[in-house]
Amino acid sequence: MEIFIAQLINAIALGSVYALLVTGFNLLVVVGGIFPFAYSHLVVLSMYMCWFAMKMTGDSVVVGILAGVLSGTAFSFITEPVFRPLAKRGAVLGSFIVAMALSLIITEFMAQKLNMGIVISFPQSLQGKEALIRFGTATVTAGQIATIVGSIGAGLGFFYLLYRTKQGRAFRAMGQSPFSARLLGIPIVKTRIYAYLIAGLLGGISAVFLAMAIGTASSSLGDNLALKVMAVSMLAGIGNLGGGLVAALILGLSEGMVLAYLPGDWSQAIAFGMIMVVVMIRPKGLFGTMA
Amino acid sequence: MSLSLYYYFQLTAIFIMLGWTLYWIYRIGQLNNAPIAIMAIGAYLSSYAVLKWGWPFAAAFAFAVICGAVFAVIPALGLGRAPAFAMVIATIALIFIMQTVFRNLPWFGGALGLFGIPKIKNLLWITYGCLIFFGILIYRFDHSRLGRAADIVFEDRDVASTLGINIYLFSVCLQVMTGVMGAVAGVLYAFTIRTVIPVYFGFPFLLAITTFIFVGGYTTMWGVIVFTPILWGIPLILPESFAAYRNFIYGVLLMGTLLLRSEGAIDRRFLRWLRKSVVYAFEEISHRWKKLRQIRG
Amino acid sequence: MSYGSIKALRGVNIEVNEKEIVVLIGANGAGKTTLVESILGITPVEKGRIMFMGEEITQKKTEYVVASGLCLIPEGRGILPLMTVMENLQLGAHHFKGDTSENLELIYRCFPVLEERSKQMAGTLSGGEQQMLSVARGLMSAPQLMMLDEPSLGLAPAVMKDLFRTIGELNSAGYTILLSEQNARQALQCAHRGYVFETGEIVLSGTSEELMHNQRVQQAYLGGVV
Repeated sequence: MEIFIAQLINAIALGSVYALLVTGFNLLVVVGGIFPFAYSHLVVLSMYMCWFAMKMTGDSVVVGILAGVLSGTAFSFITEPVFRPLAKRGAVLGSFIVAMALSLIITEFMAQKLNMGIVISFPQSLQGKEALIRFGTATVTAGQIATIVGSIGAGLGFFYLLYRTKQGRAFRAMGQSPFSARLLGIPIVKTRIYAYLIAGLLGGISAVFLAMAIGTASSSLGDNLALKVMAVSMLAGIGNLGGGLVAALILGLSEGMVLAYLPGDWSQAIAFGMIMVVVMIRPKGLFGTMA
Repeated sequence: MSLSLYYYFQLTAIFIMLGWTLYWIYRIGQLNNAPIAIMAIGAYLSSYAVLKWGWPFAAAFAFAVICGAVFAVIPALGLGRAPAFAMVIATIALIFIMQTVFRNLPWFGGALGLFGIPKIKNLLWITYGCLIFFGILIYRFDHSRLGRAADIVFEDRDVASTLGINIYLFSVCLQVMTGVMGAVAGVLYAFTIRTVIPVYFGFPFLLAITTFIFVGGYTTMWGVIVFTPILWGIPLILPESFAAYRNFIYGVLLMGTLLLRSEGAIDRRFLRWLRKSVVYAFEEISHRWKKLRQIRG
Repeated sequence: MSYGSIKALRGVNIEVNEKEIVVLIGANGAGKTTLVESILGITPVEKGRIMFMGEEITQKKTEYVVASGLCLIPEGRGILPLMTVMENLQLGAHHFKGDTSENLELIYRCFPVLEERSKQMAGTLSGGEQQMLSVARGLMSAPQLMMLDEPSLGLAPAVMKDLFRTIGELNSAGYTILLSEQNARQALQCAHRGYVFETGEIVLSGTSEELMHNQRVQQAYLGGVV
């Protein structure tokens, strides 16, 4: 029973990071007007940056976290001009393919150039494997608590931004009707850039928590995450922020629980199978599209 | 002929076929990656049949293709009505699922796959026979009412349905057709390389094929024909150090094309220009030839 | 300006003075919306200049134009149905610097309904209420010039009367208004001056009195004698 709870906590931690990723993803869909397939890849790249930073500073956790978060934000910011002409034209499918191409470039870069393609492993200090709570034979680690609390915090912060601030209103307006947003004098390009920055920030934070939750990273992690993120957003309905959170938790839970009882590979296949079924029965997702 | 040339010709033909599968379905505006997943089915089933059951090639071929077709119907029925995204993601998911299934089922050799697949005589002829067969099929499609209907669906789905075009049926038929093509490509691939491992039928492969068609031009079938040999062939000639960057270059080319010349290198305008120039050149030459004969007396 | 190879507007010259109500009359597609949208910077201008309060705004981006004090209440209202009434109003004040509570007071006085429904989703409001919201949203930025594009479209006659009365009241309160309308009669009745548009050109202009008594206007837009 305790093992079950421990695995549950692990699954929740995983799910909460997915939730952050999906939120960033959905933000880019809704405000950026594109399909950010390469988002997860940029997150993995940020994980590498975090790892490098820690290596160079003798495993300093603070530096690692800063590196991860800042690089996530920076990478996202850099990709904005690339997608701008596509967003302007409303060429979402085109942006998908461009993003796929970008993801290929990033994956190859990581496979060839970073750490010579070997899997990287994050230092223990970051992973926070010390047990904080014990009950019976199960433990809850500091890392897991940090991940859950941090993700909730970031998520709450984001929702506060979206629903209680001027910029957040501008985001939602742009997402619902770019034309009306324009008429209101909302600066379209600037707002999009902010969206990319915030999505990047969320991505950087996710990178750090992923490092904690998974402990390793490799060039194939990008594709792996991208598919899960897409799967979650399809499950919930693309652009549906609230639904995305729920779906992310569902995925995290199922993956976590399945991983515990079936060999690793099957968990992915099951997740995808779920997605395919949902897509075929209810293409708009369980909760419907749009914020 | 030398082995490398053989591989080149074989694989080029197979990749052109795969590029056509993406092309054909994209004619109605849908990005469907299922043929690559079905390629895995074609490859594994046909090689399994030959290796473990001892079937002759023709029987294995037919078996694999029929299984592929049957398998293509299921997602086709579900996805025919799906919005564009849903279809792309679902089919990418399908590719992953297929890889996982074949990697984990006990009969297919796990991550090491199947190997020692026997050589088939005249495979080159068979491959090109299939290529030409499908090429003619697509050509006839493009230059028929169906092709024009596809154009309308691509431009504006709502207008198309008001004109009575049954998009769902169209999509399902195309998905099954391209599924068959995928299965055929899979069989040919397995018997060309003579090993089948799960890694082959994954994401980077999908991206390579996507690059061939989008860089070559997705509005006509010729873009794939011209650019696949080039994009696939050049990395083979380059020295080892460059070859490693192949996927990287594909990614860059794909991005560049979509951002700068979104329809790809060979588009319909280019084809029309080409035809006009060829006709003009031909007329000029025959004109000059006639004059020359007059002078000669 | 032109859409592709078809020129939408040709040789258009209009003037709006402070505290006036100027109306643009003409059939659908005559170019009124194009003009209004190009003033706002949504449609690019090929030849000509747009001056606002002594400053040239011809090539400026929409956000700049709006920040300078122009606002457009578009045809079809352009409200955001998935956001609350209050949020829609807050969006209207996006460029407004300062405390918006005064603006809100004015708006709630003119449109008490909006105060009642301030927490409701804008999409659940009736046509007339949505129109009010649209106008109110424009008011939130305390604009120097309000442009309304076909505000009476889709409104019931009683509501339409209210609308034009409100426009008159706003004008009395000091707002300058540029109105584009198919409903020529009511529009001319509340306006000071007007321009008549036909296929992208101005064919007539003058005070509303002159236009109302003009034969051509009467036959084409007023359905006979006024």
